[in-house]
Amino acid sequence: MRKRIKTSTISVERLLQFKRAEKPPTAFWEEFERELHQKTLQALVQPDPWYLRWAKPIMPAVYALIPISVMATIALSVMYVQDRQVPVAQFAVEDLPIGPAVSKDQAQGTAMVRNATLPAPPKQLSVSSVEAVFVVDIIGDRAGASESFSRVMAPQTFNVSARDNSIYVVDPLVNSSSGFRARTTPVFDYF
Amino acid sequence: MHWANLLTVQISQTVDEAVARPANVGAHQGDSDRVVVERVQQGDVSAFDHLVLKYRERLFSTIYNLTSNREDAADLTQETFIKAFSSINRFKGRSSFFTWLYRIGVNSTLSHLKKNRYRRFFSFEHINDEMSATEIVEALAVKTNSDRSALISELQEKLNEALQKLSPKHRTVVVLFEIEGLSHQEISQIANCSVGTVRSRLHYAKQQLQAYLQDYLNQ
Repeated sequence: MRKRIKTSTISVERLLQFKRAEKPPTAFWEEFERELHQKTLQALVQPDPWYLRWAKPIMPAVYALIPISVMATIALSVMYVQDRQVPVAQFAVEDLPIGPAVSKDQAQGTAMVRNATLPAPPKQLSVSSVEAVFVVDIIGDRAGASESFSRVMAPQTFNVSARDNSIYVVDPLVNSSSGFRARTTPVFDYF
Repeated sequence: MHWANLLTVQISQTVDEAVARPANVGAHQGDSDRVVVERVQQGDVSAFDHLVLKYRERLFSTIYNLTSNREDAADLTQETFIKAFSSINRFKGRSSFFTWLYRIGVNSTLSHLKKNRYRRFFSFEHINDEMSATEIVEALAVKTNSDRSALISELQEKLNEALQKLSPKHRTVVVLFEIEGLSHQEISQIANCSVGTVRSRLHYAKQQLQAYLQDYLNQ
């Protein structure tokens, strides 16, 4: 009884058995064999298309050039990235010349005079660009002591502070959140 | 035992074999194929005929069930054998020859279906006489109250329509699993996807087929 119930159940799997039973007649295979033989011969004698005939002799050279091209591209990319990288960490204030960093003769006529008082804690001055030539605005704490000049310097952000009527450049890389703990170097002592 | 009983037993066994899920042949025949393939790779062209004879029916059946067209299936089967022959030196034996051949055949068929997606000509192959004696035909004949031969023709048509409604990828999985009897692992190698993807496609495809063939099912 159980078997009867099972066999009378028609499922998708059992319907697909019909597809399994579909077979071509024997004559079909004779024709198939003949055609396959003919096509195989055609494939053997058929000449390659013109582009393959041209490509065949140069393909070994092309394959050999692929790794060389890849290596050259990687090397060029690395060189380019290294050139573009700004070596901020390599420059510290101590590398800058101590003493008058710039005189009024070297100011090259880009001076922009401001009258302002430098507040404490020190105010950060922005550098106008990341190029090697910077225009630095210095805001002094004495009337008429402000300067703006251009000079070739390391591409950094400079902090200028007032200490004993002097203005100092502070290496921003050695700043910490607890405040200035950095060595300061007076570079604008002509004030 | 009477000779008539013996005959009955023999017939029923033949019918059962005809409808049973085909054995998984791919895994067992790898070694014998490898020897033949090595002979072909060494220049024994006639050895390839052995492989053609061995796999032509199964490959044709698969491609026929994917295309539902006898002429296209014959062309694609021949094309598959020619491709396999011309690139036999690239066969490194990482999979069985059977899987490699099927992969070529299935990929060629899927490309053909993509190129000719608006061209649909169905043709039907002959159904084994043994099939008409199965219980399922009897059950369907009773259910639909129709003649057996008419029922089989109608069912062939409906099955072809239902399979063609599936996407080529889902159809491939159903054909390889349910009709050709390949394992999930073999199908994943042929279709170049994971076993999980095979299972999921099979599940979805069966749901779709159940919906299309609702009139014939009684579950």
